[in-house]
Amino acid sequence: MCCVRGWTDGSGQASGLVGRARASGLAVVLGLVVGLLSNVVRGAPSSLPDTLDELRARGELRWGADANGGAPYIFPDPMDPTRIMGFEVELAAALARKLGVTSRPVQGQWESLLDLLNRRDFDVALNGIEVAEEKRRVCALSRPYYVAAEKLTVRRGDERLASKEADWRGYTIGTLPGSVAERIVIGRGAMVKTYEGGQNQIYLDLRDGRTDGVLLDEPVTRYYGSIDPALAVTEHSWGAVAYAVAVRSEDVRLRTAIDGALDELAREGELRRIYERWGLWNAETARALGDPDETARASVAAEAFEAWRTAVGEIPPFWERVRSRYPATFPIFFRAALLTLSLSLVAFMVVAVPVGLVVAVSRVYGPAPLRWLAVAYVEVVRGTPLLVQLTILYFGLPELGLKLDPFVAGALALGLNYAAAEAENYRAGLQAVPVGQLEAAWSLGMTTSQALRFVLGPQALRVAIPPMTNDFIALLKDSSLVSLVTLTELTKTYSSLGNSMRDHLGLGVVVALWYLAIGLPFALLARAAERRLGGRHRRPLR
Amino acid sequence: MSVRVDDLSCARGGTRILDAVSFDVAEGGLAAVLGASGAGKTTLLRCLSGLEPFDRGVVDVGGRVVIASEAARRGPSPLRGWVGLVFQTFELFPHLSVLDNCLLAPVRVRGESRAVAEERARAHLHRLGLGTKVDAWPDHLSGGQRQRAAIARALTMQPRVLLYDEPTSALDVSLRNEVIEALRDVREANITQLVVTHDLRLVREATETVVVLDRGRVVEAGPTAAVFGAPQAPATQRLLLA
Repeated sequence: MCCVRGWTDGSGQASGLVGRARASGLAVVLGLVVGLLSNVVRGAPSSLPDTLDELRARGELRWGADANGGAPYIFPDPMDPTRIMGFEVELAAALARKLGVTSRPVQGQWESLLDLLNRRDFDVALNGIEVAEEKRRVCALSRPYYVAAEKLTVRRGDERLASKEADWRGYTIGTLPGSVAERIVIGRGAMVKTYEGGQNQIYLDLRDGRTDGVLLDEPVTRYYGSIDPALAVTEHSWGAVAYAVAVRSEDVRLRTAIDGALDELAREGELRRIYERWGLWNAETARALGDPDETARASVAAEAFEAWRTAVGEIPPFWERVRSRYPATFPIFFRAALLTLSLSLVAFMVVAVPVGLVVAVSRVYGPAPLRWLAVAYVEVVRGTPLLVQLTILYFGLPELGLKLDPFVAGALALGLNYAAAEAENYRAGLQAVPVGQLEAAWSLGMTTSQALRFVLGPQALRVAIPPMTNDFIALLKDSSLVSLVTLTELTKTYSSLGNSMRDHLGLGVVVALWYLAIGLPFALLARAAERRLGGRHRRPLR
Repeated sequence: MSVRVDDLSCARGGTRILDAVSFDVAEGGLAAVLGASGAGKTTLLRCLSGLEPFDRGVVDVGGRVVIASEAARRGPSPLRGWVGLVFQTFELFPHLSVLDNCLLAPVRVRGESRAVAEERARAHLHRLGLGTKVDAWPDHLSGGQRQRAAIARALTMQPRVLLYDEPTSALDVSLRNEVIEALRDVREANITQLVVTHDLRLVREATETVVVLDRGRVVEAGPTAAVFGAPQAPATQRLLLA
């Protein structure tokens, strides 16, 4: 059995960064700057190294995939979520062996895999990427490694769409966005409902009567549709889709090497062995791989599929899950919580608070041009969605030669966004301090900056602490957006575990508790600080 | 250290608030500035302490001369450390204890050691009757105590001149005596004092000279007893009759 424990995301850099943060805030700022600069250099598009040489020198094939997609591609083992498994994990390992290296998956949002590939976040994308013309416009594709039929799943006993001749018009069919299946659904005149989340949710919606059918690739159908007793997979194949490995258009040598490796793996029967183990061997793939034997050998048990069915075919009751399954999610949630927390702390303390302070002071005490700049900053940043800002920072800036590391991009986007809110908090705080306090400081010989530090700041802080706490907790939750830039934080972990354990309610409670566990201490800390500062005044400052 | 104000003029938005104001206060003297509301008393005080720029004229504190162009912007006074100001609303720093209110400027601005500044601050607080209140928060003090704490804070910076803006306006009659006592105490330290006030009793009981302002101009100045005994200017007569 092949599985992976070394799952890569930006948190590798993250924990290092936070380690330094404990030692010194300055070190973190320096780290950010140095990291940024080195990335600028790395991101310069003038002399791109050959990816095949690069990965051989590194001794590791880094392949992009989304564990959120679920079984049987790449997913956390429902019985031990610290292990990443799937037929593509085994395929990538076999490919890497042929290239003389080891393999390492890199997490990325499925919809963004090709963007991330072109950003050079990994060497290849290997995650049910369908062979289609529009993909070839942005990357090069290897020869197909698997061919899947498109299968329709309906509720058991619902005969309306069961036959091949059925008219789909007026029915709602669920599928994945941008897939071949989606095009088939649209072509047959049905209403299409697509999902950004995991595959399990698509079938849950069907079971709950929110859709009339689900059209998806056979592997998905097998792992999510066929194991649910309330659902039935119909016989007919509505089309076929081939999966290929995506490489960057310029990586011709790498593509040739991967094609050669796939050829060998097919000839040696290794691909077939993997597919049979996962219960995925079919006539379409046999034809594509030039194998005359279209039916799976009875001698090879589909043990991986059986293990899956045993694990999640029937979900144990809640308390049973609490006892037997949730403890195993601790390490993976813990890691995600650490990332969420460290990212939020760096974003808030290193970026949002200092930038917000500068903006607020400029706005309240600065000369006119600085004041206008501060107002413009607040309005522009506050008036545009965080998701847009993060996308520009991570996917847009490389076009200008500035390639940010995922953690840096995430912390910067979150921090700069929240700096606008912080600036307003501090402005409110500063304006709540009577002007006589500044004059009293001046009359004692203080400069304006000394007055800010020793007289106005401490008083403004007391006014600003409650909204600051509020903002930090909000940032903690908004940090879930960084899954866009390949960071596996709490929400992403929940969504991927929910999909692989087929459990959204119980794990939802678990992840909510994790968020509370990291957010509540700060709320309590803030309340204590407020009491400490507030205890010195019997009446509010006016 | 003496205070000399010469030809001081100040306008805001086209309105002349101070018009060629000139007067002197001798070293260690205690002078009052009297005038109806809007006469320009507070603006004069703010010009002297550097909080308000002026357009023309000279302020001379013991030879340290500030001319109009030097005073052109709001901000820390060019006379910092020489001229202290006690605000009408006291403006004690509410996040600091009484003692720390006194120590903040000497330690942070002048870089004095805490011990040295603290000895001085405690002495001032003690003399002003706040010996038991050094660790209290300003909001836990009575009005008279706050006024005296503000005076102690200004004194700890060792100013040569101390200015007061309406020191008794926020206080009831019994507390006014505390302030008068405090003014007398400070005079013993040979610090020149200038009090802006409406409070005729305070002027009569505590000050030696008086300057009367009317619509931005000095209309009468002289020893308090003489001015109160035989007021010359109509504005002074109106004030004393009120």
